[in-house]
Amino acid sequence: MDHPRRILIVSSHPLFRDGLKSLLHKRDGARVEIVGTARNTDEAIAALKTHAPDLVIVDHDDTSINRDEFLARFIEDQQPMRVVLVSLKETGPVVVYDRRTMAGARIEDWLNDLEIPQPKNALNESRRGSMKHFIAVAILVVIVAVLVNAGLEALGLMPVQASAQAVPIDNLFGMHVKVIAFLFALIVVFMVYSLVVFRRKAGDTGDGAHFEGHTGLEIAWTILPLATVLYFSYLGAGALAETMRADPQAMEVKVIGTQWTWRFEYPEGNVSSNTLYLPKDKQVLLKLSSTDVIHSFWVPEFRVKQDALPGDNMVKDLRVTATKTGEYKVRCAELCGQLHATMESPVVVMEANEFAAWLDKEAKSIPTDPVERGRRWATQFGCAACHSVDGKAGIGPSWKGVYGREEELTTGQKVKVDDAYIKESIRTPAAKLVKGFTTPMPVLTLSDAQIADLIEYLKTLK
Amino acid sequence: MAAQALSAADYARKLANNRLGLWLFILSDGFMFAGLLVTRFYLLGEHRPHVDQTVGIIVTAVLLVSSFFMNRAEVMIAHGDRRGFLFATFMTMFLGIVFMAGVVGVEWQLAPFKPDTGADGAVFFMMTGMHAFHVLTGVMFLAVVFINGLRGHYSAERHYAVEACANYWHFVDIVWQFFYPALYLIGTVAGS
Amino acid sequence: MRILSLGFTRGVIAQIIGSALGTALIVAIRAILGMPNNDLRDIEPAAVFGGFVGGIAFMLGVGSMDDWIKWMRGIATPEYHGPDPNKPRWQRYFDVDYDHKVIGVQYGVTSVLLFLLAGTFALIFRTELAAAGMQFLSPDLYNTLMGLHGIVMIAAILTGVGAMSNYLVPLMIGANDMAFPRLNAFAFWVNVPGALLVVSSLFLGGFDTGWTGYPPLSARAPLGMQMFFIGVYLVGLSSILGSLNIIVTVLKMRAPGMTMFRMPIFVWAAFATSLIGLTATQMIGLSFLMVLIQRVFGMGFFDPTKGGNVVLFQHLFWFYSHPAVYVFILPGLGIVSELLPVFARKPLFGYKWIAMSSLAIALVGFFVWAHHMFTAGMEEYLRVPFMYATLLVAVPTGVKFFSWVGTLWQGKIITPTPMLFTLGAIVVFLFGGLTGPPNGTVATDLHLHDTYWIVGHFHNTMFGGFVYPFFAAIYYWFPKITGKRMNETLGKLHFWLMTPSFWAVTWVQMFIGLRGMRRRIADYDPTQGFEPAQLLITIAAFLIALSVLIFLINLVRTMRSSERVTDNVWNSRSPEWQLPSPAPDHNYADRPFVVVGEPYDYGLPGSTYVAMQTGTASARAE
Repeated sequence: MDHPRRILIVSSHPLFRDGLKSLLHKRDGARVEIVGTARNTDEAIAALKTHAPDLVIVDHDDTSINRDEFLARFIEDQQPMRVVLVSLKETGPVVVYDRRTMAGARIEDWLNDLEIPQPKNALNESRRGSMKHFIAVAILVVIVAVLVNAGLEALGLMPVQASAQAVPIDNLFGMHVKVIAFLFALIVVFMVYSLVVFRRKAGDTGDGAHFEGHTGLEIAWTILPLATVLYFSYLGAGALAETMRADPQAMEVKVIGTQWTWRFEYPEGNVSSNTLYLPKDKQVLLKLSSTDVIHSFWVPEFRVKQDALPGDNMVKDLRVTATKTGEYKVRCAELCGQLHATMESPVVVMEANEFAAWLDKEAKSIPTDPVERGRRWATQFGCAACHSVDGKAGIGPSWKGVYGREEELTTGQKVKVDDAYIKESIRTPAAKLVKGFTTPMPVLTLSDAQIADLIEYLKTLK
Repeated sequence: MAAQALSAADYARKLANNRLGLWLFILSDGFMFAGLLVTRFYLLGEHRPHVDQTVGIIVTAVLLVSSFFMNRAEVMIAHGDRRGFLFATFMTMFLGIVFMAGVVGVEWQLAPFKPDTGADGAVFFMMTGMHAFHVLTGVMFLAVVFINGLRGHYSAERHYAVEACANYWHFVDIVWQFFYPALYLIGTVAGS
Repeated sequence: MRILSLGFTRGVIAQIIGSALGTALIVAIRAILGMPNNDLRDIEPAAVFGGFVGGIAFMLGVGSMDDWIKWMRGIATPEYHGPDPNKPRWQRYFDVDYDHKVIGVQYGVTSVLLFLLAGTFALIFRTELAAAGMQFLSPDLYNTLMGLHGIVMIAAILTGVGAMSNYLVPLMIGANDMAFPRLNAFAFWVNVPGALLVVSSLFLGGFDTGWTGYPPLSARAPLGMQMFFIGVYLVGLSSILGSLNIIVTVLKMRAPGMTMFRMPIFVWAAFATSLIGLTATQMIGLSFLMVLIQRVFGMGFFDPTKGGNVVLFQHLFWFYSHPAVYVFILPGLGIVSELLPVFARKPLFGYKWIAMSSLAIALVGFFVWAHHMFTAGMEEYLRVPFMYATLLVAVPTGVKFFSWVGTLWQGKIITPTPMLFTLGAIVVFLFGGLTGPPNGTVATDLHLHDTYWIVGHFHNTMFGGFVYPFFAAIYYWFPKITGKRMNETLGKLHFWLMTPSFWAVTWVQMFIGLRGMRRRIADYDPTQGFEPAQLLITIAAFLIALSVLIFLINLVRTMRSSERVTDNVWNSRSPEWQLPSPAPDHNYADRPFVVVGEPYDYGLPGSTYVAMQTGTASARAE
């Protein structure tokens, strides 16, 4: 040791000051030099500057000295100095703290100028205290997670389960809900607990515990969520495969979306319908397409959803196995323009034999003569409301003699009423309006075959 | 330009910022061209549009040679050769205009499809059009550099505008080096 | 005339004249060529050209290109344009000003105005939705208002992100301004013609596609659709240029001693955000441009009758629009990380991991876009890798949540208004984040897609990731910006009214979404039993509006009061709080700093983060 340690004693009690002074001289002799004493905080701070001691001993029990204020002002300056708080009432090792870093060292080591140990991770020091907090939080997390999950399940979140495809979807969603409940509890309980227990107390101007991180925790809360999401992705892939499981015996039904209605075409016997009839417990392969913009087929009780796209090679598959008889609704689930909100059709699930009977009846009721079929479509689609067959003008041109007639359009252009024009007028009603008629036709979902039949019928109206 | 008024240290700092800024701009613009390439392969797949190969190889060569002149311009001004720099800049501009004439004036007229007749037309005219627009802005940049060069605004030590113009021009050329194979070389011409 | 001398006014007038002239030019050319000019469809190419010309005209008229034009003419310009001493101070905010703090405020005010506009649209159609049946809106007007609500909110968020990034980044890294001040001003001002064009769609037939603009519907929508496309194009340009500025500023202009891992955490967030904004934004520009061109020139990119493919649009569009949501939330999450240590008086837990998590979210976010397309009709198997990537984003996001908890734990927490909004942001964003994985998993998404569940999910992520942090940032930095402090009581009232109301909106939305309530519909079938829920949502929405009104009253009252607050109000270690308030022109020109310690060493006595170099008392923590 090169020079005696210069010591400043701070206490308002003369007994403490003088007593400590003589004790230090007796015990440590030439190794220490008492450079001064101070009776209060201001004197002590001034003495720091005038005497520049190596060590300041502060009376721990002296309530007239504001320790926090002293310490706060003590660490303002950069000149090396240490402080120790000495108590006459409490026992324990004597530790001196460095002014700049607040690193601690035992006083014997400091006096003997040994290596000063690095400041310990504050986490260790407060570990015993924080254990009880962790236990309390863990219990609360479990309770809240269980309650939240139970509550959500009790609410009955999903609609009626009416398809085989709904089962893996609902199961997976239930698993998601459990994880949601747990993670919600985990974060929120920790936060609320902290807000209550670790709230700053009135008058406390100090800072919280200084720990900057914990690599072990970081790794844990990266690896565990990673494993969880990979697992859920794996489960998700499995559930998806189940919803797409193909039955080779599946019945194909064409689903055509048009602004703003659905049409369903059954392969047997040219049956076309605006209501989707489905047999129970038999897989149906829906072939989705659109005549104009993107629509989307969705029955909430069936769960699965698929967009219907325009374009010849853009037919999309959706497999549905209805498992509950009843009436449902299919509603378009992709914004498709003005009347998207009301683009809906009934869905009727019947027992398989009832369905077969219906399909049979529909197919048989269609006439074999195209002209008769054409007349049937004209009735079914309500053409007579605007088109007379006897020559009388109505909201639309009369059909008497219409086929092959030359008409003038509102643009002045002349056009012949042939197959192409009739088809175009049905598909895009506002494209070519005949002069004198201002109301465009509503959109009608006739299939190409039906339009051909209608043309045959029109040909007969001379 | 503003560069003359700055101290050497300030100028060096600004130069570093400007360089990074230009590369970031080029990166961003590159994403747009990448999107066009994605469109080409998504819509046309293994087919390529039926376009004139002779015109294609000529305009590609013209653009590559223009980049050579652009580089010469930058090197010459860095060595203080003002006349050489002006000539090379002018050549770059001239060849750039020839490129545009070749694409818009010739190739577009020769194409056996129109922009609105099918995927071939849509993809071809969009890609070459967006590229030509960038060539046009590059030519405008060159014109500004040329005129300011005539006025003596660039020195061997301070000519960032030339460097920036050159980097931009090379970028536009590199984009074409990707577009050219995508439109002219890769895939088979679809049957009529 | 004072009003006419404002850059803003000159810009608007220029835009009107430019649009008219541009439109007239094309109409004239068409007439000369014998092409018809009878209806809106005929005039569309002219109107589109006019829209672009008007946008450029605005930027010239407001004066945002003056210096660059001078450079093109070989004329030097001064480095810094200070405030014009002949004009009142408030005029700076209506002119082109190169000071990043002025630009930050311009962005912020624009953001609040756009937020109010979009919110008003929502209140209108929420009123319509409160009961089944169409009461006062037509379906077309509903669709337009709903679409405008979406895009104007997005513009509000982008300008709000711009406000926070532009105001804070230079101050936090010790720079006196951004790397490119003129570009900064340009990037702000281009939002104005963009927003004007978007809103003009309302008067040009509207658009019925929602903000996502899918063809073929967008290819046959009214003229308003084109104004929407051009307007979004301009707003996107702002995003790209602003991001470029941030990246260069952060990489090149930090104070001595400020290594990347000694920056305030918000700067990491702004940096990661800017990487996305610089690159991905091009894709929404391209996809919208292609629909615009399909409409004007008939080039059938997305027209199946011309060899086009509608799914291609969705790929291009979502390649931007998914990463875009991370642009929306990463800055706000950065604000949360920035504010928690100040109010818990503890270091930010795992600073490096949080910084890296922002980069990780930005990176992984580029690989998940097709989770918006699980039902769109792309290749069926392709949905699986997108599911894996989507769920993967939860990992770095979780790192943030756990780190925030670690920051609060064993702190000494106080809860003034900024802290309330910070805590609220965490909980609200938690709901948003937790309701994400069911959407990211394909099988469950088949049921959830296009329902009110999705609406509830993204409103939670948007409020938690942007709105709440934005309010926190305003309340927190208000003294730094203005030298005044907003009223605590009104602030708390704002929070405690907004939060339960917001949950009433979104939880109910998610509940009825599961049960079959589709999204983007002007009306719903009363037999589905959603009416009471819809009424509740509407009432709660109005309560949210009321809470925002309280905020606005607070704002106005505070601006009018003369009470000054000039010190380090929150006792923060961050560099900007070592400057006087309001922050001085040129930031640190008179008092540069050197970084001597870690940014968040609260609780380490004697530790200093930055040492100012003028001899005034060093900055330190208690």
